Amino acid sequence: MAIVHDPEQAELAAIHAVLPSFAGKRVLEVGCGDGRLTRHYSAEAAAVTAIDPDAKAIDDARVALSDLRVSLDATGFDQYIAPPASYDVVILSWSL
Amino acid sequence: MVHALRRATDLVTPRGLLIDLHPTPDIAHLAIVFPDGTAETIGIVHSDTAVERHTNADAAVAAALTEGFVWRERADIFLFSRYCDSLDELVAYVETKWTAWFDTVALDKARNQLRPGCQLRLSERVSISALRRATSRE
Repeated sequence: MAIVHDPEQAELAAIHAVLPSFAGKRVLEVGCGDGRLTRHYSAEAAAVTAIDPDAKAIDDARVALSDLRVSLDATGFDQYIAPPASYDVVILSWSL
Repeated sequence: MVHALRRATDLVTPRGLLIDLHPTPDIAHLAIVFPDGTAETIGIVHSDTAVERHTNADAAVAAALTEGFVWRERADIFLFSRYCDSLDELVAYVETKWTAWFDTVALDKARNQLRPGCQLRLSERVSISALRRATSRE
């Protein structure tokens, strides 16, 4: 048995409490890791960019999220470049 | 860290939402969950850096609020748990992902009490903040 993360979906419930719907949102997730959280909202969002400095984790995310349209980038937030006001939602995912 | 919050704030639209998730400085706990659903806490996770790192994350959010470039629409704390039926696997996870460790007492309790149908549960408290750009109030 692998490690099972948050089967109670407490994290997802907390996120939905602050943002009930990702529909139509352009989302940047910083610190996406292997896409554990990304998977839960990316099908609903208009566009998702997910970044993480851990290249291995991003490789895992590419496999895990292959059925979803998510732009993945193995980069740190300091190196990530995007125009101001590019996103409707930015998630700092355990990355501060 | 407050620099990251400032950057993130710049990347959201004026009416956009910034969601921060990070563990609280509270120490993570290890428990055994028995087949009948009851649980017994058997130890804590030791780390040289976690408390400081998570305290700094709290401080960064507080600084962002004090500096006034964001305001907090909502905040909450929830319990995030990971489950595993293999002590060795959980030990390796904590060592590699967290640069942390369980003490001998906790390991001994886990080895002595872990039976088929039981699971190990590693729980930590996580803070969530929904932040909006200060300009969204104008």
